Amino acid sequence: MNMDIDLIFKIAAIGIIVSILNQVLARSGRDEQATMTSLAGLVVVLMILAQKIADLFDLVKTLFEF
Amino acid sequence: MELYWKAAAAALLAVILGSAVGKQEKDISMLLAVAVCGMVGSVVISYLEPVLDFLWELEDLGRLESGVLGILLKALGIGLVTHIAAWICADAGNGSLGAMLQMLGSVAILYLSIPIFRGFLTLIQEILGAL
Repeated sequence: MNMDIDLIFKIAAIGIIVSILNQVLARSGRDEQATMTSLAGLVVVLMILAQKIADLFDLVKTLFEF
Repeated sequence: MELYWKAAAAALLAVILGSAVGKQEKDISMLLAVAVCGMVGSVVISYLEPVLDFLWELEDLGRLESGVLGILLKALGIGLVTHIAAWICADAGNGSLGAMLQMLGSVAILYLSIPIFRGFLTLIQEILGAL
């Protein structure tokens, strides 16, 4: 059993990058692109997380014998 | 016990990073919380595994009716997952969704417990019939 601490940094890094991009795009008057960037960041993080959550549920199912 | 310290550090780290990111990107901050909940949850499960093995040993030792402990463990699993998911929903500002999830968990546990209730009912009928 090992903990993937890198995942936390990865998600935080995506959040910071998206935040900076959002600010830059919003200040230059491209609000639609800023929204799309936020949405893209969210989807990327969701794609990373979906598999992890599925793995956790599988682990719970195996352990509690569902 | 190393995993315990790692999990505690990961939770603290996530709180700090989450509050830094959360000012601009609340959604990603919430997903960060979900990720850490999942990671800490898997640590919880890794610690629970030997405990559950011990419970199975106790079941064998006590020659308990097979299936009863399984239902209890399933109820425990549903309770854990429901509790974590409901709190995440509440943290994300969807308290009603969390409450609904808790209700779903309660009903699922009741549904799982039907064989135990039925066995209890049969036992009472047998006792009353024997009188």
